[in-house]
Amino acid sequence: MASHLSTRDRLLALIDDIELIAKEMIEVAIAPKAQKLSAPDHAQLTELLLSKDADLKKTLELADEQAKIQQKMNELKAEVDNKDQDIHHLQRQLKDAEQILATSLYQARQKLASIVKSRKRPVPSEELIKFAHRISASNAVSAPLSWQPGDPRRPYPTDLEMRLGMLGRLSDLPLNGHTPSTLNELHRITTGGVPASATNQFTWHPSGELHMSMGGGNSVQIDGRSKDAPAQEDVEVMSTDSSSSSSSDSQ
Amino acid sequence: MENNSDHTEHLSPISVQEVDVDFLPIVYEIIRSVERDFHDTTAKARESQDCSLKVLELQKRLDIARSQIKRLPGIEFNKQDQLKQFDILQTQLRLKRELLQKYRNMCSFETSFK
Repeated sequence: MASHLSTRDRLLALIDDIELIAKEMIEVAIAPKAQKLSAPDHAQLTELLLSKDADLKKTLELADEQAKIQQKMNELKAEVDNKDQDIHHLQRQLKDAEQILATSLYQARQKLASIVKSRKRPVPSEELIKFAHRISASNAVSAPLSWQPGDPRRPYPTDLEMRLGMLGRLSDLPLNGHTPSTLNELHRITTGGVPASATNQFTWHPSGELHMSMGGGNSVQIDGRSKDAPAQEDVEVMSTDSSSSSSSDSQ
Repeated sequence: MENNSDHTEHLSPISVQEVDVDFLPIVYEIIRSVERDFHDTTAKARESQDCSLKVLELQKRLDIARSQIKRLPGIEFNKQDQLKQFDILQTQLRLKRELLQKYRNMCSFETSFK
């Protein structure tokens, strides 16, 4: 029997053989006496059938052994699958750790760079404090403790300053039937000299506060003009969150 | 034929002890009843009918044995190949265990962040 055949094929071939031999024996038994096989031939056929039967039984024993091996293999396969899952799990964790480490390395490098930069150009603390005083002297960071309604000293722009700013001008433009086509034009309009009658244009938005601030008009206008750009920034920030105005100023 | 064998392979596996391969007694009975001489014609006719039934039964048993053999587990290969595969699986498992051990020993430092 060729050893390269699988045990299943061998078993099936043995059954085929047994079937063939049994058929042959039955046919010989049925056949008329003249065509009957001689006794030695018959005995040989019987021997063959017996040996095939013995082979079949032996191969079945082998199949039993192989079934046991298969069972062990199944257990091994299950364990291998289990290990596979563990390996995948660990690999994922390692990948995550690598990502976290890469991020922190990047941040650490940035921090080191800023440390090196700050060491190259050290700023004395006294100068910092002086600068802080200078910022808070104009109430740009916070209102004075004794602030009352009507007091123009405040960290955010007054109504008049708002209207003198870029946003106030923008809302004014469509009324005049004139829209700035370029940024330069817009810049010219907003930074160009404010005509003396400009304040008269704001009468379309009358409010009590406007009249009140008109009283101290000069000082307010000078303040607003001198820090025009920061005031505009304030407007943007305050439109969303008034509490963040101090932080935007301090930058 | 191919589809048929595939279909039978999907059936639940059985053990070797369940396979019925006792063909010799039935072959013996068939031959004995063929060679027996009867004087009575009715008895002869009955014996002949009986004999043909036994032949059919033998055929049936052979077919059953074939289908049972197709359901036996682990005999897709001969024993040498099967043992080779067993070795391969064992090697695989050993390597995977080693790899896992390597991974586990690699991170000897504590990671406090998530």
